Amino acid sequence: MRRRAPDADPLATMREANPVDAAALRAELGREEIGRAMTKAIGAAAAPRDPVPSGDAFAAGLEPRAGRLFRRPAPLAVGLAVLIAVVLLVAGAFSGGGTHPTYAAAAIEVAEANPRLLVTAPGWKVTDAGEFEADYGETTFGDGRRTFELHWYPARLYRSLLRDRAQVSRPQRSQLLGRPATTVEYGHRGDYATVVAPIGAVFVEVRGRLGGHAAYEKVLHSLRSVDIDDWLAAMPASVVSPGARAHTVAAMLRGIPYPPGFDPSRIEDETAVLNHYDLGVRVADAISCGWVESWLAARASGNGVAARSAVEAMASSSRWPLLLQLEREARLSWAHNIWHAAAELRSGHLNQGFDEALVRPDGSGYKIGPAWATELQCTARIRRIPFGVGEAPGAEP
Amino acid sequence: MTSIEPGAEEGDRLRFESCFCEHYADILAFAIRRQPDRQAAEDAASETFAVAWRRRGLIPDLPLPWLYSIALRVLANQRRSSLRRRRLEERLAQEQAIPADGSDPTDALARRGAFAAAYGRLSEDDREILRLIAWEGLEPRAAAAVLDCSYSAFRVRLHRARRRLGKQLAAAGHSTDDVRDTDIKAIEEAR
Repeated sequence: MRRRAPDADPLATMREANPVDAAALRAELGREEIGRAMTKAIGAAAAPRDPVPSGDAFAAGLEPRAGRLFRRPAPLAVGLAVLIAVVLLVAGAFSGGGTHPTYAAAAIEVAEANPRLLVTAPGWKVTDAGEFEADYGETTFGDGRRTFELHWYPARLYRSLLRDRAQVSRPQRSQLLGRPATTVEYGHRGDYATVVAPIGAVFVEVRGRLGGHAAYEKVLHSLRSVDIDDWLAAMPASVVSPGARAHTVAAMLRGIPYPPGFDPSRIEDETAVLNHYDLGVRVADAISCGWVESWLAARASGNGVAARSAVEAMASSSRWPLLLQLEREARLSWAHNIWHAAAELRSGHLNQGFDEALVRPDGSGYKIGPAWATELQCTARIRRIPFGVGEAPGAEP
Repeated sequence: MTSIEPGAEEGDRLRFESCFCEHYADILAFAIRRQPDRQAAEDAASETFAVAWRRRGLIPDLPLPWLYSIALRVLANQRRSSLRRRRLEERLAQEQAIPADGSDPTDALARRGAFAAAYGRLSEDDREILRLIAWEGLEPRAAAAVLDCSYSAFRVRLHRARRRLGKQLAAAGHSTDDVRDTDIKAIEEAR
């Protein structure tokens, strides 16, 4: 199983890339320049200006409004603020033991259902196999320098996605793999995406920024459909093998109290394509969802003992080895979502608000919640509350 | 012995001056990270404190997230209105053969390494979330306040933004996690 390297936290990489050191800048400015800047700012304040939204709501201690950051205009067709849990895929798992890999039956089902496309241009190989299932999936190809993504989606979403991409740039029509294809370019920067008309139950979208249109076309037209064995054999070995999954889940559950009715075999038996971190998140969420639901049920029935048990179990999350490991792997990890829920239970005020909103271009949409369920990705408990055009998505249902 | 307490107005002024001296560099750094033209970044920092001066009676005890919140909006206004910025981007694009859509100086880094290649593929929403945490060093609750969204929403967004960056880094040669783009989910949900 692949383990994340200690330096693999993307936030750590991001911190290293900070282009401006504020402390160095402060030293560079010196007292005199800061004084001049202050005089200039105060002088500017005296001049009449257009009002600037100032964050006064925050200054006044008001609660933030729901969903505003993530409301998006037309280009994406819908707002970004969808909070549907990342789907844990009941797909296949495969192992790379020996020279002839063996594959789980579910993996073969996925392979049979999807178009099994590979980039055949010289030097390209699959570098990442994202979560996948029969009608949703993703593989990333790389040549050591550049990457090319391939997604497959259910055919029923083809028209919607095509309409969405048509807003990215003027669509260029062509043929690919014997099917109509539509190519758009993101931001006039050589970042192309091509949507291919459905092949069976799915359709394919690819995307790459390969250094120009010709380079993109070359890789695009090297896509070939291959048979099941070749497709599975092309997958990287960096996925959890079926044999290791139960053992890994059991190890992750060590030191964690189970909520009533929790059955670890349900997680062990999922044959999702997940790496260690994601599997850890899945396990932590399953446990936490169980405890929060237990707490809600206990409160509703007036069972103080059961409610206290849930609070204490969640309070112990500060010591769960799994969460401490997640936090070691990535600062500000998913563990904070669990700890936040634990703190809410302890305070007796679980956030049941609908903090997320998805806004369509016409201004209608729906709110998603309750917040605790979205934050812990308790998919069975997530609900949507629709709102009409002009109805602000801020109020509680 | 009599002590002279400053009046409310004088107290606000002192509070503003202290806030300015302590945080001007932070706000200027914040602006430079998002605005490639140093002069324009200085203008944005100045305008941020001009707003803060007008509202000096509202300066909170921990003013930095509040100032970031103002600066974010000032920069957005500046981007919308700045012809100078557009000309600069066009000139840079011509001179350096890079796209004219760069929204901050790290676009320049995009030519220099895996990080910026990955960063360049993120949405502006994701970039802002990551910048506030990684570059401004804010805790999630303060960053959520800067962006005027709930803490709960911010936590999930941060998780996703980081994973999307991780995915792009992995694709660029780093060893990190993978995650599927959620656009299609949004489309499906909107149906």
